Amino acid sequence: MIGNLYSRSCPGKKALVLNRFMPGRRRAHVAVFIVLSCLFFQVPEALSFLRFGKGKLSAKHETFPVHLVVDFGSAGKQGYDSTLLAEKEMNAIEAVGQVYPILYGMACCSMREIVEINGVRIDPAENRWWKATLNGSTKFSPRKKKLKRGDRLEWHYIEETQ
Amino acid sequence: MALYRRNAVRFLAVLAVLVFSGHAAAYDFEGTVRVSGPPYPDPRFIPIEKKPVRGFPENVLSQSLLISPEGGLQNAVVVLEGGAADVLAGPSEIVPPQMELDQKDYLFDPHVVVLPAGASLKILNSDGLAHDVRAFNEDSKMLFRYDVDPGKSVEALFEKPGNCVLRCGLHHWMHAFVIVVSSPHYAVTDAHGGFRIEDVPPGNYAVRIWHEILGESGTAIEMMDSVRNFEYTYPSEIR
Repeated sequence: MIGNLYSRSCPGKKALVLNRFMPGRRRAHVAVFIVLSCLFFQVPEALSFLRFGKGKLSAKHETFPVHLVVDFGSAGKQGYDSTLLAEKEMNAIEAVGQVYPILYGMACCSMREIVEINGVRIDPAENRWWKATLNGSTKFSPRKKKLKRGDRLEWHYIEETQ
Repeated sequence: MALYRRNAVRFLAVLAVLVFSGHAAAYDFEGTVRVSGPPYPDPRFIPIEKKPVRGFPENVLSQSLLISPEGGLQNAVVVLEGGAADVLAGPSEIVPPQMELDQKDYLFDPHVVVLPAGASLKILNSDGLAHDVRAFNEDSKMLFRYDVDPGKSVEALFEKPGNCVLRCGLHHWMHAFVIVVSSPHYAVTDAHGGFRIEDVPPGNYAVRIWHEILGESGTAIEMMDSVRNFEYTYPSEIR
């Protein structure tokens, strides 16, 4: 409890100062509380300043490297196998869209929502699909999962036996 | 002379009644669709790596290309397009019974369904697990998607003519074709490649034959009487 206080330098104005009538121990507790509150809100920004050396960076423009592989399989087109600078909040579909023109929409199964990459389209009648893996796993949503630094994203044009 | 004229008028009147009374001639179109050979390709088996249930076989028989020992092609679609005017259409105004497509033993049954445009298809699930049915048109566009629980069914409407493929999103080997046609005269070949289309009015028709692997082919025919021995052999090599 801080209490009702008046600044000596600004008579008539209510100011937040330590009440000289507040017991010493309580005064110390309040002071610690105020300092900790300031630090809680200021430290992350201070640390970021130290980290990048340029002051505060906008989260919107943050980029990070991911490894992207695009394999056109039986379609025969030359693929892609290189590092890509992905932006924050980017998903697997947006990432491949940085390299090739894509068409996406409702297709079969959660991992196969790309309809076409660089003109190579899925063929449901022939059981040919674009299949994505993230760090070796197919258990993710190409739309919902956000990429992070160091991820390995692969898109393969596959044909399943039928 | 007057008597002759009167009899001629009576004869023409009877003829007109017979022609326009709805009892117009209707023929049957019957035959076999074959594959060139022998030798004929052996049936293929699809390996199943991720089994849906315990005890599921290691592989399932592919229904994409089924050929009888005599070379008869199963699951080919034969459609007669064109023909006489509607006044001679005869019983084609009869609404066809609703077709059903079942998901049984982790396969679609039947593998090929033909529907007139505007008809609906009842999709059942006789298996113990849910199936995820998705339909795609010839542009690879998804038409609908249904999760069908065990013992349940859904109805899907097919409005426009065209070829649609149905797949289960959970079991990659499961697929079926729905061929939507604008003609009332169609059939699907049986296990021996045989088919029969009944009540075809006289006229000139284009015979369209479709198979999921061998593709589309056709010929022309003039129906002046029932045809019992139509034979068509796919000329191209099987890939």
